Amino acid sequence: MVSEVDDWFVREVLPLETSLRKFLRRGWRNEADIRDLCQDVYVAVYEAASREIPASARAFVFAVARNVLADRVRRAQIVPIEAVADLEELGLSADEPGPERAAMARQDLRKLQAALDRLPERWREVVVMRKVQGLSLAEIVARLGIAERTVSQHLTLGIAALANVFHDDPTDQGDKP
Amino acid sequence: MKADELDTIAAQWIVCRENGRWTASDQAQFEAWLAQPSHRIAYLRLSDVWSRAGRLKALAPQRRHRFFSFRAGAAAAKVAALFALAVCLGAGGYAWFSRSNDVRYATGLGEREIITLADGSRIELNTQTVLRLSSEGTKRIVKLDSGQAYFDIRHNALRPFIVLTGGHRIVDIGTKFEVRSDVNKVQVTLLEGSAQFEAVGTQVTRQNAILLPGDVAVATEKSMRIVRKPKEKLLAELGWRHGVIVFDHTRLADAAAEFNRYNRKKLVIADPKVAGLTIGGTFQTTNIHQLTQLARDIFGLTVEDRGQEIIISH
Repeated sequence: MVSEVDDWFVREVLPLETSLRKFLRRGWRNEADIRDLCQDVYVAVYEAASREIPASARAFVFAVARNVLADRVRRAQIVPIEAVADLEELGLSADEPGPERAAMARQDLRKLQAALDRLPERWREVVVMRKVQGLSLAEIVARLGIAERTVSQHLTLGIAALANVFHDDPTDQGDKP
Repeated sequence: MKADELDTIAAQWIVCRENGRWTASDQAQFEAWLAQPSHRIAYLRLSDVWSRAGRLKALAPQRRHRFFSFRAGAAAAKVAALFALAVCLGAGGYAWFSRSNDVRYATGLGEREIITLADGSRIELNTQTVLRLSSEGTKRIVKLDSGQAYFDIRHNALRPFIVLTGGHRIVDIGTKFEVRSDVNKVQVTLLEGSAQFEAVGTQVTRQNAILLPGDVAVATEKSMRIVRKPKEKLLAELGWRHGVIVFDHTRLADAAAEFNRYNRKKLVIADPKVAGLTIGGTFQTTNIHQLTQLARDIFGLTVEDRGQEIIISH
């Protein structure tokens, strides 16, 4: 089921998300849109890679990100001074080799721990039971004494949130709390 | 589709695959869903982090005492309390508001009103708001027919507090929150405590969400999104409670629409270029001239007062 492109995407593109989010945040100040912008970048990158896998994932991802941002700024009709200035400035750093790949394995565990700690308590609880304690869904339901539907819901939201906090640099929160 | 809605669906697939009842037909449906690149990407992204999270197992023994057992215990107690509350919903008991059901409150253009309830709970109504108080068994029920209201509710597990609006339900679990009901969307902002938001709609993916402080949930007929906002921003958005509107990089068109909620004299932005200019600052809801002055003096725009309307153009 996993294709060559999927494999490339997971291995080369997803580890860039922390940098990508930083990049997008500096060009686009509405925090609520960042995940959507990421997704737009990913779809464009994935579709291009389905035709031919780019030689440098990093250079390609940031080139696409620049286009996505520029497009969004144009459509939004906001006064784009800040966004444009940042794009120029950041354009230079986008091609530098990133530390992500090398640091990934080493930082993985620490990053996961930090991400887990930042999850809302209800979601963290079921995520911990599932992943740290290795309990099955049925066992979690039995242990907490709450409906399976509720456990599934908390787990669902926990999984989605975990990916976001995992890829987010807590020191780069823009205007988030 | 919004990426966070996509994430919810992708995460649902992950949970389904792990629940031990995965069938061949589930697999077929899942593969059909994956055929679309945006779906596939959302799934790959979540399952990547989710499978990495398996490494946390290595930490289980050390973490149990320091972090897990204590906090999870507290959370479990809270969840149990929540469940108890749900059970209570069906129980019979005292009427809460006056026995004559449906006490109606309404505010006109630019008006505000504060209702203090017997138990100390407060409800603040913003401009052009219609709200009805009633009770149903032990349940305290507020029907927000239109407009915007802020709720500061004394929690009582025996007397659940429920807000009904546009078909949606908000069940308070000890909370300060705000509800804004517009023609085709309902927005719930949670400041303190927590509340359960049950959205009703045809294609809503997150039908039943627990809101936590900082959450802003917007439900339309087709979707429900939850975003997290910093507390300062939420308080700024609640400026109406003190008769002010706070703009922060707000488009002039949106600022005008906001003023028009409070004033008989309407602001009209004549030009899309002008509409896109952004402004910031704190304004009195009923002092429309603060804005027109800014438009004229700072942006150099033309402001024309036509009696019923004020036209702003280049």
